Amino acid sequence: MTFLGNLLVIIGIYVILAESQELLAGQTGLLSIAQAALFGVGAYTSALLTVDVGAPIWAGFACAMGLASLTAVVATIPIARLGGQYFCIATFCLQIVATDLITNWQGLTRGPLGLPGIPRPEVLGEPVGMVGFIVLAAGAALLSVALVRRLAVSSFGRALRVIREDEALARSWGMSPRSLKWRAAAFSGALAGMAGAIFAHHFTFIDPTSFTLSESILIAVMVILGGSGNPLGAVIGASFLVTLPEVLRFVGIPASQAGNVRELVYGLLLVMTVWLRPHGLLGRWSYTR
Amino acid sequence: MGHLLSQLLANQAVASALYVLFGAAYLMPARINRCFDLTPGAAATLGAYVGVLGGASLGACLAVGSLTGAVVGGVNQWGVMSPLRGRGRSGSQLFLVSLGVVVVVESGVRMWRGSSAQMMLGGQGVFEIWGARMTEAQGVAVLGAALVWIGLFAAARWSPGGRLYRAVAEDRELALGLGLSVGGVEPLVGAVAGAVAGLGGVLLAAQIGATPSLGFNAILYGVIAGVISQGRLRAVLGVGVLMGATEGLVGWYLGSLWKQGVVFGLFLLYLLIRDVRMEREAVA
Repeated sequence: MTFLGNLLVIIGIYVILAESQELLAGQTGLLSIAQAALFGVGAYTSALLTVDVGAPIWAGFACAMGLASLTAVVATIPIARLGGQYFCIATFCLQIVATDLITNWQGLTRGPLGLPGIPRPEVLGEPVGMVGFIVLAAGAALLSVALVRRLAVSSFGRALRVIREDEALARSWGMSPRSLKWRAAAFSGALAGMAGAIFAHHFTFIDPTSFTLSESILIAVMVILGGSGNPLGAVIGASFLVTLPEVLRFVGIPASQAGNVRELVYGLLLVMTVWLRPHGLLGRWSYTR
Repeated sequence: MGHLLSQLLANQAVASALYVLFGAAYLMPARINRCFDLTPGAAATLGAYVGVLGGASLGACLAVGSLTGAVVGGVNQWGVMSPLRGRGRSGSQLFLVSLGVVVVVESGVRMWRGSSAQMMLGGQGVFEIWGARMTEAQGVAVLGAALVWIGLFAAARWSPGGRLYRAVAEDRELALGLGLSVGGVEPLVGAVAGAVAGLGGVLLAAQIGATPSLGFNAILYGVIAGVISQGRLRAVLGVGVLMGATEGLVGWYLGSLWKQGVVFGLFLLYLLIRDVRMEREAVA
């Protein structure tokens, strides 16, 4: 039960992260390689507030979403003007800077030692158990899918797709690409921050290894594989890539190699997807710039 | 104090040499493929591992590593990047593919040899120059980077292959239209870049040991050198030296832990300033 429960919670967390990427990459055309940094901002904000300040967990969640959203906006305002590959590389740099900050700012984050003792949410004075966390993660994942779907069909989502296809056209219609981009980044950051808070309070321990460049690449691959421009694609991509190492364990691959095989498979899938199906499995759009 | 300064300068020279190598390795296929091509990172990782494991002396390690890198780079360009360009994939898509190739090689190497660093035995003898102590491998890195840069610069400028490379890098469609051997020069460029990356990988492994992420981390610095050089091979030398000096200063004032973050932060700042400048020029 613990194994399956943990797996379901992790799937839920990664679905939220993939949706946060989908909103930026699939709807807006901005492929970010810094989603793990926002995930980390959310995790550390909620953990530090509840452990060091003694704030209630709901406040930790709210601040995690708020600060991750703010970080995304502050980071996006200057770099959103860089198009296509340059945006990718800029977010690459942001991710590396963020990893260095999390690892080396030991006074705040305790660096590689990590933050232990993060409290679990309580209901009627009792800590939430595995079933409660599965419900929380699944509910949050469903909420994020619904939110991204709702945004995608709204006038805001249509405007995002216009700037994704042709910024000059969007400007000529009186839209403000910069404002639309930072609003998309705000939603995306809030989702990543929520995923971070759930992660921190579920595992009760966080350290910098969960928020690295390879995590950001994994989140990007989830959306590319599942299909950009379709919120359901992100669900498929996240579920597949999270479940893959566990399936590999059942077919006899040792646990120590399962992570490596997953990386190998997702690297190959990245190449094959771009080669054979640039739109991904359920996608409606591919990175043409 | 004099010795300390000499040692600092020697360390910066070694770091600069490696940046020049990785900058040159990045630049060549990136210009051909018109994307942030990270695949020389895969050549560097494999070159470093095969070189460290396959060579008894530093010379043998370098030869084996370069050859491995050349094979990886050539095959990747011939079998992956060129066909994808032919299919009309965009720069962003090619960038993602190159990322995929690096991830495949990195995870494959981790499965093969584990995550711990593989130390190189050759090239660890120490010599002294102007009061600074350097290992043989570090000395070879400085000399080798200078020779490779001169060789590449001369080849690109004056050799028939180099002229062909520049033609394809400037306008692939025009080169195809003129009947130039685009299909021949692209794998050759990939192989040369892979050989340079493999050489850099072995020289880096001689100092910090070969790890699965060696090539990926190194080629990110190559990207910085390549982008700041604005695609010009001759500028890579100056940019590599500047990066080495910057890293040395950051290490001196803030500590070595912050080197990577500060260098990438400065690069981000450069990208933003460059973008603003380009926009102003376009408006003017």
